[in-house]
Amino acid sequence: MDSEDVVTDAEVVAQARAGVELARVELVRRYHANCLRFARHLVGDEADAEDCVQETFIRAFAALSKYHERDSFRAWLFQILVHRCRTAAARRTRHRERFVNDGQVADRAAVRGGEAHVDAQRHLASALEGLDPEHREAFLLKVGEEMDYAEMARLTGAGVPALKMRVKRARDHVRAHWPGARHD
Amino acid sequence: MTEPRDDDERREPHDQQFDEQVRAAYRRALESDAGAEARVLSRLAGTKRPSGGLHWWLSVQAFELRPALALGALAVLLVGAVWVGARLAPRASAPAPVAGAPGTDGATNAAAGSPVTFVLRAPGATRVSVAGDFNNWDAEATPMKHSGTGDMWILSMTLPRGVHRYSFVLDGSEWRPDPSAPLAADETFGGHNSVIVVNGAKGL
Repeated sequence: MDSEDVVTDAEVVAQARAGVELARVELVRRYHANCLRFARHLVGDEADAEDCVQETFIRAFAALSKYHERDSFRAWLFQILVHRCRTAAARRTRHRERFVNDGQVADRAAVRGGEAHVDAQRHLASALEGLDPEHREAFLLKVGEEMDYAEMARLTGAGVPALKMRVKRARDHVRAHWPGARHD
Repeated sequence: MTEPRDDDERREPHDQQFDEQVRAAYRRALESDAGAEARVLSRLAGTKRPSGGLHWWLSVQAFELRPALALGALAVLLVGAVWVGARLAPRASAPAPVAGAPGTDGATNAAAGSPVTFVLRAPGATRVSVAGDFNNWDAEATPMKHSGTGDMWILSMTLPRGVHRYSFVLDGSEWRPDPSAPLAADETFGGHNSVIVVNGAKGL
């Protein structure tokens, strides 16, 4: 991913720490879509997902001095994001709402991207339905975001074996509900 | 027997294939929601540290951006600008080679403005001014002051919150982008203008 011409996250973060506003803008540009995509799939609710992402960036920039460069910026950001999403999920649960309302994600895709998007989104949304937050979170981090388990363990607080088990179970669940992929 | 040993899990080929399929669907949703992104930037602008002001503008010159970064940031800013512009004051700034410029309605926004300092090294120039969407691109309206030594021209002024495009004008006719500006408006927006972001660009 890194090439000679690409300014690394570490460079941009260093500038953001130094107070350069445009560096913050650049970090938002780099990760906003990524965070929103994850939050939408995890939380299901469009507005909640957007709130989680906003809170994530605000908290991240307020705590930028705590970020250590040994971690990838994305993983650090996602750690905050995962916690925001969990909080949002707990709030929704308290309000006795369903944790997910995946129709919204698919509908939003319909507005943005036409039929192909709708199909892909609907497949994924409906396949994720019924997964509890822990499994959904692990699955999206692993399969969606392609994080490695050590990274996932750091940011979720769960152990690697538990995460592997969650991903495996989640995959089985998603596969069983995935149109056209039910049988090998 | 296939207990994963390393950091990553050992997946069956059909698992890998399936994961690819899922990932493709997941990534379909990557396109950012421009409105949502602008709202993040807007909230960030509104939660600035108290010491904020516009001091970053001076330090921004130390921000040695490579083109990809600058263009990327510009894209975000332009999206934000259009959005903020639509919210604040959707009126066209007449001769500006700009689409969807942010509101620069002095009456409503001046109080929310911030001090900005422009600096230009212009050897040989006898007068230098700043023209931008904030002064209707008037080449005479906003003269800079010669620093007294060397070739430096300086101007401090207050600009309304938002994203502004501007250029320097040397001797009334030579338009020159700000070499120290990290952002330049691309050709879609009329060529060689620079861009400045004034803190506190709130859309609400």
